[in-house]
Amino acid sequence: MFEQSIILSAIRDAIDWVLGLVGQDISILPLPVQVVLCGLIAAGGLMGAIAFAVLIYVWMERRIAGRMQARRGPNRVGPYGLLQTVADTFKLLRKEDIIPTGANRILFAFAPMLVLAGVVAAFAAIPISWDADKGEPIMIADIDLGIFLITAIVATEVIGVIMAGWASNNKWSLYGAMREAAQVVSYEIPLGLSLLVPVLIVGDLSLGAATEDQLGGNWLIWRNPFMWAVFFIFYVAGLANCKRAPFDLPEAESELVAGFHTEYSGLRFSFFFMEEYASMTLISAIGAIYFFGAGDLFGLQGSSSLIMFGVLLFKILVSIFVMMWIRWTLPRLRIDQVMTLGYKVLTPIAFFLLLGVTVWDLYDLNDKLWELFSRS
Amino acid sequence: MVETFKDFGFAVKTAIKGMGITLKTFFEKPVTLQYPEERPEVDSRYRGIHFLEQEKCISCKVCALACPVDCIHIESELPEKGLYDWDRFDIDYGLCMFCELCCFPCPTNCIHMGKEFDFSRFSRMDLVRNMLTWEGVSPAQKKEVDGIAAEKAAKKAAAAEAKKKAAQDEPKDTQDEKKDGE
Amino acid sequence: MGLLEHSFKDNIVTTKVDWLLNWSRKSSIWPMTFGLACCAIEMMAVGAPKYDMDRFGAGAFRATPRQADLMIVAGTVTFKMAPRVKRLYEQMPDPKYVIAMGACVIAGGPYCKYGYHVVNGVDLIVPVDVYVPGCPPRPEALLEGVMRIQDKIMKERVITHSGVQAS
Repeated sequence: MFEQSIILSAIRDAIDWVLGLVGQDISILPLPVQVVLCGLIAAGGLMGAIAFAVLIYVWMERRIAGRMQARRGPNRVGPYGLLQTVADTFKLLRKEDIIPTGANRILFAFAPMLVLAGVVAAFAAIPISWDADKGEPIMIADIDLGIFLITAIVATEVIGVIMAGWASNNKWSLYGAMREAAQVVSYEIPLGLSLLVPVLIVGDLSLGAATEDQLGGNWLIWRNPFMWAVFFIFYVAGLANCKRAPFDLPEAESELVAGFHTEYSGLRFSFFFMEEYASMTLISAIGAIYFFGAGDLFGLQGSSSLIMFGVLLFKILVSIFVMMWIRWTLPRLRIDQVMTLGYKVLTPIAFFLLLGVTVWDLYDLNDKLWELFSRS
Repeated sequence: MVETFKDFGFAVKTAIKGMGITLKTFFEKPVTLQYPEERPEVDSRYRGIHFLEQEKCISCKVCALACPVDCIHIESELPEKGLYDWDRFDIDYGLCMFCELCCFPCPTNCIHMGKEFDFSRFSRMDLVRNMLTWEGVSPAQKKEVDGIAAEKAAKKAAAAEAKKKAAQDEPKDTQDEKKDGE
Repeated sequence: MGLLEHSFKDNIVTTKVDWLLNWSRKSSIWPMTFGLACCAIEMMAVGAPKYDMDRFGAGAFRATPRQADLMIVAGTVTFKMAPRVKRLYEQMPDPKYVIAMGACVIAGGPYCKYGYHVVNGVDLIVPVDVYVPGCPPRPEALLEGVMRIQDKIMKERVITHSGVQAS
């Protein structure tokens, strides 16, 4: 268990050190207790990191939205409005918590947690950096089925959203939830197909293997001519999957009051809010790891895992900036246009690209073309 | 199928064009006026909170009559021609719709629309604004009015004195009359 | 927070906590996307680049009353609309604030004398915190109104009590 994960074993070493202060050893704890304890600490750290990231993202979003509309955005609350999201958080904590009459109280309370948990759990299989000494990716759980696990776990979010929509006892909520279900399920297909291409090239489902494969500037995006198109499809399908504009139909303000979270107030609403930004980060991280070489900067980063983490973070932030840029530029699509785009455009293109990449790799066209050009 | 792909290509093209525009705006200077620090210059004909030239006002109440929502309340006494004893000249900004209809009929052209616009209050009663710069009598006319008042008072006093005197002169008669009446 | 509300005496800790909670509320007044008539156009201008309500942290217009803190009643409240306005107000979670924007909302405005269909003042149906006069008010006047709301929030007591304990 601990051999597979650098982070978990580091946490175990830390607990060992703390126990050493009182003259004890980690071995006094049975193995299951060790695993659960380390897992809980890692989960808490992950949750805290995501909450902190959301604070930054929301501030970023509001400032970027401001500048894109030729206004200033929040600039009164703290320097450059940096404390804006902190104020929002405290306010949401203090808001009255309303559960409507006729709502299913258990599902209503459970849905936001399920939605957030699904996305946060997927981060366990994301490698945040690379340990050059051990030759292993730094991640919470180096699972062989990495990307498969991620796509499977993220799909639980749909269940949470439908739960929220149903439990609210509100027709707008239900409409939003049904739209979310239709949209996310149909966009899982192009998303999965476009993720299959890097998996095919790397030859491994684990994201750690993808990180290793791209070290030294050998990014997957350069491997063959189809990759940019594959990345485009991945990005569009990813946007639709994390319900960002122009695919934010589940919470379309002009049609359905606020979609599936119409009846949620205060802290419960902030869970949905966090989920949106967390899934944005997840999609950006997968994109950075599977197409743009994870923490690699053409080998310039050396062997420091901290710098690699910084590079990965920078790539994620660039991707999130593009998402915000898209959100504040493009108008929302109609629901039939969304479905048309998913089924009639992205899916066939993704199939074609998968086929193309397969043929390209099968006949090793990279080398053959290289020979052809170098000969002439 | 071909149509769909054509539409998709067109959508991507226009989306990229639009994103170019927003990116250009992103690096431009914002046009925001930071309100409490920078105040806007309103137009010369802007209709804001009224101001009243009280020296010119003749308290004819034409503005109050002209007001379509009856938001002007005027109360004043006229001790003598040309002199005014002001009790009240209130405008209820909860009702006022800044139509400027009060300004046109004014015979002395003494009520105007100002340039002030921020008049938020916590209570509806506070929205009633007292337009008077002085209450009672004008400081300039104070002397005159006081003079008239003193004259009047003197006259009154004299009259009272005279009456008293008259009463003192014939007290018995009245008493007799009373007795007779009984 | 319901249990702790107004249950402490003033001291350095509780007043600081009060200040923090009030500051957070003051800094993120999310208004409701809700306009009734022409004043709403001016309300939209407040969110637009020139005036930019988002500078105060009040730019996140929420479509649902459940997530809003501030109801800007912008426009003529007719008798037909009045029950909806009241219902929207009741659907908002505490703490909630109301701005009456424009003459129609404050006292019926142009319709106050002969209008058979207009509520003479929205304060007859919901409690109003700040009145912003004008027909319609300039966007700056509405910003002024939002700042008055902020003043009002900063004077509130959240976990301290003012000496007189409510039973």
